[in-house]
Amino acid sequence: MGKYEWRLIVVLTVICVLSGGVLGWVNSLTAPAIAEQEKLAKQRALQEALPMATEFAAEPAILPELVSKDRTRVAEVYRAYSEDKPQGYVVIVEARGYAGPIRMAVGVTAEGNLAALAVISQSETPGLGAEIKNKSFLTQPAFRRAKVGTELAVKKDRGEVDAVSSATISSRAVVRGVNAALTAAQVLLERDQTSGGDHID
Amino acid sequence: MTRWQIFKNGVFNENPIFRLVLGMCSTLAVTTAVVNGIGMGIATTFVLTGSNVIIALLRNIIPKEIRIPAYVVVIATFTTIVDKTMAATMPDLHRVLGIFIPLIVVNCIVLARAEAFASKHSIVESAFDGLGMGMGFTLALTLLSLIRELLGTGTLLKASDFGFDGFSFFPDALGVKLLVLPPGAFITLGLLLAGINWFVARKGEKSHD
Amino acid sequence: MLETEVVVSASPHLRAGLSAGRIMWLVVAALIPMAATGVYYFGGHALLIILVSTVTAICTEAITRLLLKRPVTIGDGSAAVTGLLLALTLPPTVPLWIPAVGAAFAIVLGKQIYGGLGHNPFNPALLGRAFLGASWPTLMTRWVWPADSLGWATDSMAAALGISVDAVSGATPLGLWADGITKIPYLQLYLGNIAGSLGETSALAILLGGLFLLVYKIIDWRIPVGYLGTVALLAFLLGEDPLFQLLAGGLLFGAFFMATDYVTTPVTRRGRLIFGVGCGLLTILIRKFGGPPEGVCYSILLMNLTTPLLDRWTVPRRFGEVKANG
Repeated sequence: MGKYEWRLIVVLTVICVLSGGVLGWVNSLTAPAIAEQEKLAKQRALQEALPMATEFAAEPAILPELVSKDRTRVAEVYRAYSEDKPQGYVVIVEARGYAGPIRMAVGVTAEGNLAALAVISQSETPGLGAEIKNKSFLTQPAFRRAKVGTELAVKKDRGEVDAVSSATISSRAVVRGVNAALTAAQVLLERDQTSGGDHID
Repeated sequence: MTRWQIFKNGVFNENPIFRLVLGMCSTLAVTTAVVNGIGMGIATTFVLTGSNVIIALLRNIIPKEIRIPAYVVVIATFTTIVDKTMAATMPDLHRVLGIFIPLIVVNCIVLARAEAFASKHSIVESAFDGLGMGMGFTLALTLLSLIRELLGTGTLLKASDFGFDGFSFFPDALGVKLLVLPPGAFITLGLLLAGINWFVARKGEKSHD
Repeated sequence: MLETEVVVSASPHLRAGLSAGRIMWLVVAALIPMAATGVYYFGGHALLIILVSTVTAICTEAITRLLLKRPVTIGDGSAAVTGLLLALTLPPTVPLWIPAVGAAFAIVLGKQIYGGLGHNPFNPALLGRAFLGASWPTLMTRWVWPADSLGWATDSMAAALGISVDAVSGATPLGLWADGITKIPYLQLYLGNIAGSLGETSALAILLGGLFLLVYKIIDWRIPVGYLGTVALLAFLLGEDPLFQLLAGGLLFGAFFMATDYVTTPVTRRGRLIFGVGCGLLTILIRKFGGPPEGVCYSILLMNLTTPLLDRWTVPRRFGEVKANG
């Protein structure tokens, strides 16, 4: 190889090394902040789904029977506590909507009632399906009355849930997610009752 | 050309969207709300200016044969810096703009300015070109998203992810939803392009008279 | 600019030269039965929708042509036909600004922006309808049942349909079918006392108008026959009721009046047959597997796009010509 070819290699290598160095430095600066932001966002969603709890502990045992069903997935399960007293569960579910997965946090109280819903992320059509994250949809009576053991459905499917107008597919996805979360909570509730309830650690 | 002329050139005469018609992908995708349009515009301006400056700085060192990979590495570096910084400081905007921030790296306008301008001009001139092109891009995105948000949802500057409701002009239900959907991006951009071409052509005719 | 537009092009000349005026007014005449049944079943508001849509279309056409400093072409009746067709595709409950906005959109962005009649790639009325449907989905899916239509339904059935006997709002027959609830008697679908768009409910009125157009040789039988035949065949193959699929929704109306538009459909005979079959295929696919219950509008719009290709593909070869690259 001639001198010129060596120059090509050296220049490109130097540029790449410099770029890598800069990126490494930027990453070391931002990584803690990004992790912190993600934790905050998750904490906010958990809090929103179960307002009476103050602490959340991830439930490590994935419930095998709930992992994936009907385009709906139970992603994570949290036990919720307030001053070391169990307050219920927050189930993070992902249901396939019109444009992509809808990720939600569903809070269930220790008595098995649905506490609240919080949409964490979604990519539904703005103005149509994206309206599922509106309070008027998420806090409607059909959701507030829901509890473990009930199966929800939108009105079009002979249920009680008022779908977002012209966005039945997105609304159905939310309902599927809630149903999956209620089933997960039911399994946890029954398991806790047989094992004598409360088991921190 | 003076520095001011270079800047103005990017904003008006060679506006990336309306005159060069480059960088359409992110333009069409993110302009559903003014906040998104401005956020995307500023992020792209940063990448444009940064990569223009570095490439102008290295323009006599980088051999011709490897200039494209070298430019791409520089551009990708700046894009990643924007992406990480945004995720750390403005997570809400970062989530809304989603995949389109990393995709600045393949925005034609960035590579086009590196190749057509920064590789042949001084650092200061390239910085002004990057700023001008970035401003032109931001302006175009703002205009597009202004029309789409206002007519599509009846609001302006709405940013519910930041807890800011913006200004509401008429009920959401009356909005022309088509404009918020992808076809609306094409229709709005097409009409704006037609209008600007018509205006430019008429101005040209008049100056000939 | 030329005073009159003279189109000079090399042969083969694929565009049919149409004396637009006479044909368009005959189409208006053929649409009268549908407009009349629409008004009969849905009342005075339906008449207002038709008037607003037609008048807006004509006025928009005139204003646009004046602004563009081109000859005003409302005399050829095409704007009136667009307005009338659009009105007949609307639900009878829409507020009156809906037909106005839709007709203006159809004329400006569906037709004049391409250079006026003969240059538009899409059927303007359907484009207007698609625009309205995408923009105001809630308003565009509020259906009502004609007041005298519920005689056949017992109270329990009406409850199952989600319609109460005094408040007559409810889903269309296709909407009910898509939700797997029930089937409407054929006779009712045929006469048209069902929920649906103004002009689409009565198969009888559409067939009268369509027959009129066929007899006057204004439309070619190949498109409606290809369209309806494909839908019936595919419905049968997919285990659906072919007759129900033919009578319900906007299929008959679309097949006779929308898919037969001169400007946006092929001029060759084979091309027309293929066009019809394509529309049928898309309609069944949307109805059976798509999100919305009805797919006629989008099917025809999508096939409109293939018209230049179909025309080129099916150009009749001259006698004695050898196939290139045989």
